[in-house]
Amino acid sequence: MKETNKAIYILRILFAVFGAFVVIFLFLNHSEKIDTPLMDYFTADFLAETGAQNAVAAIYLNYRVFDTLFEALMLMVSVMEVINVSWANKHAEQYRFEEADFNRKNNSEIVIRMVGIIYPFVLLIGLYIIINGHVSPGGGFQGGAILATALITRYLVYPNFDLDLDMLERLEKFLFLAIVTTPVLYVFMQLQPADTVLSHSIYMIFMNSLIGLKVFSGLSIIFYRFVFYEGL
Amino acid sequence: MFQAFLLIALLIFASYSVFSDNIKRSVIYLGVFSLLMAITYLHFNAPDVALAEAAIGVGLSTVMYLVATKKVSVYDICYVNEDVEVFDDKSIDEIMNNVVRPLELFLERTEEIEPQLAYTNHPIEKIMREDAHDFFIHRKGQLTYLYGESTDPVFQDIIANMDEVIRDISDIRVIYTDEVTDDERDE
Repeated sequence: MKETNKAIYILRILFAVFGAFVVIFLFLNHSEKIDTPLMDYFTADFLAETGAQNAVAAIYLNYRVFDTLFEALMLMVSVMEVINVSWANKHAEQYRFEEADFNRKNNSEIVIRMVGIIYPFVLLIGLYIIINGHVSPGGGFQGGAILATALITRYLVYPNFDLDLDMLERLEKFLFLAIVTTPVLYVFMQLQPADTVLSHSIYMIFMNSLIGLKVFSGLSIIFYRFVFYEGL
Repeated sequence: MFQAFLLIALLIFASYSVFSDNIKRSVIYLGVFSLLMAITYLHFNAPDVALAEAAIGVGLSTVMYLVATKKVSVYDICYVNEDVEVFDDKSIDEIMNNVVRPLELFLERTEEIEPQLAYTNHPIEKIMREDAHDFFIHRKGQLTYLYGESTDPVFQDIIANMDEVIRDISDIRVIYTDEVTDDERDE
């Protein structure tokens, strides 16, 4: 038993060293050399090349879109982990609709009224940040987080579990697939209808909306899982 | 100048949120810290990061921490003093410094549960029959009675660390409510 463990251990170390050598070999022999510094390369002509007026959006949706894919993957893995951990907890059938929780006397009148006034504006600013992400500061992640905040403030006013979390989970996985396919087709394989600023802007808006919806559903799933499946 | 002010305020609120005694207060300090952090990012020309920090730090995580602290187990303390006719916050002053504050500190630091204090001037028998509190402090003249259950580990810990929890009170009787029969209680 112990010997096999040791053999696997050595095999792992060998595998890691081999992987490191492959990476260093590829990096030293096949990496692309650019004459200008990276900052100039990213900021010189990004409007014509990517259709974004915001350099940050140009970087995370075009120049370095690979990083965005892995960020989206990371969020999805953490959502799956949260679901896994809270399923493992004994009460799986805790879908509930409790009248006792929904007692307006327990909730502060000030919070209810203020959330009612603020709610549409929060939704509006979230959508604005998503759709305008390629022009002004913001983007999919920030707008999605603001939308999720709006949904979570709903919990403060109306603490009930009438959301279809399964639907949200399926939506999140489908959105991840779409997030992977769109840049692969548009940026890597260059399947573009036209190489104009307008076409690039449409791609930016589409990607930002996908990322925003995905972040929104992911953060909402995490929050509602923690609230309704954990603890007392 | 503005930059120095921001950075010093960040340090102050970070240490407040770490060293505060009350969990809820820590969460609020953390929210203020995140808001200042967002302003700092804006000051350093990073509006994208500032937006993310404002949405996540101030909105999401504050609400999440507040919900989480709501789910933390609460230790329910009831203070009974039948001699007081009209009970208000001033009547609790006599045990504030020598019982309540040290007890709260002990529960938060050592047992890691949230203390919650209620007080009343109803008769102790009625309260114990009708309300389910974890721990009763009963003042009767110069005597102080502590009621609790012998199966409750937190109550056992409080009794074991009595000299740390309760100061300047010499006449204390500890009564385990589940070991006392009804006729004994009548005495």
